[in-house]
Amino acid sequence: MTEKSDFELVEEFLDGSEIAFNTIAARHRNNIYWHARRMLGNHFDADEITQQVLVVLYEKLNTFNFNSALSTWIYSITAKRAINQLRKRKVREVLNFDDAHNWKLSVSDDIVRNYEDKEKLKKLNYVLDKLPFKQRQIFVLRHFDELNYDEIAEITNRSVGSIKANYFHAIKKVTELMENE
Amino acid sequence: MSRDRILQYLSDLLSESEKEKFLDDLNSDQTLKEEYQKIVLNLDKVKQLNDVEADERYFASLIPKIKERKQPKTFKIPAYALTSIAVVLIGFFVTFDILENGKGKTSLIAGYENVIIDLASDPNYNLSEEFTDFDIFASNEVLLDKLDLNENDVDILPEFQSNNSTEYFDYNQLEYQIINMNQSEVNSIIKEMDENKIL
Repeated sequence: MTEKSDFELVEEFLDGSEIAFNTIAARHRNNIYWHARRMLGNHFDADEITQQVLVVLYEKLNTFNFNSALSTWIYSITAKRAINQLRKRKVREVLNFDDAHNWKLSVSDDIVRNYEDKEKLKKLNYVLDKLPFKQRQIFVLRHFDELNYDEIAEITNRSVGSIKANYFHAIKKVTELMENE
Repeated sequence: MSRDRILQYLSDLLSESEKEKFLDDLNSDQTLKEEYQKIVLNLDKVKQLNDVEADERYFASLIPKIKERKQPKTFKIPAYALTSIAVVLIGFFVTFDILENGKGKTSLIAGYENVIIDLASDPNYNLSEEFTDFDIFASNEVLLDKLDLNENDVDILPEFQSNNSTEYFDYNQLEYQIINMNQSEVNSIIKEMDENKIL
């Protein structure tokens, strides 16, 4: 049996099918989580964003206009929430030094349990943390989520030219960091 | 210079003619080729850092969590009813305070009262995550028991108490339970909490 398209599932969900929503969520939840995780660098924030996005998805799918891919629409919600969360966290870190790194200590419930894997993610976060928010977002969308410039432009509501420029600066910084390690 | 040119190529910032020239140079210039390979290799290394094994059970558990989280949104109480509840609660606490004539108890009860009123009068049922009084309120064992919250609902309670963090507490569940209680249930909880002098 052929797999139903996202559009078909959205229509079924809007007609009242919970199963259709579960299928949509199952299809996109990993992308949502891993985008948020790369942006935020820890499980707890990523989990919060993932849940928020899935709730938004459930409640706002009726506003989806079918003009773009569902995945692009979901990425735009995820990217916006992740970057806002990142900004909020930075503000909190600046204003309250005691609580600044508490999230980094809360790793016991992480879904990544293997020590080597944890170290890899730690290193990845170290590198991504050196990028300004927008560069980080564009680098993650392009390099990890493997989206093309047009999709990233739609998700971030920026011009393709500005995205290419941001990506250029991001890979310049990232490769420098990798060489100097 | 050659480094920037490589990065421009990888970012698709070169024009068609510049791109052609770059690819020609890449074939003929060994230094450029080595520099290019080094950059590509480093970018690949970064990508591999995200190649990790995750516990897939987490993803399977998401949908039930979402459904639970959505519950409060489907429950609507008219604004006038919320105001009435708040007024009745205030009346109850004032009366209770007069009867008991215990000034020490007033502040304790007032803390809970304010929280409940805040919860009940918020039309969006959105709790502030930074609401510190709520930490005390939500970590009260008598309350949790009365609200019929089980370990799954508050499975992070020990961390929650020790870190004074509300990050993992299931607010929606608690909130949902509270707004579904009638006045006598709320009164009963407050009374029992007070009798047990738990804070």
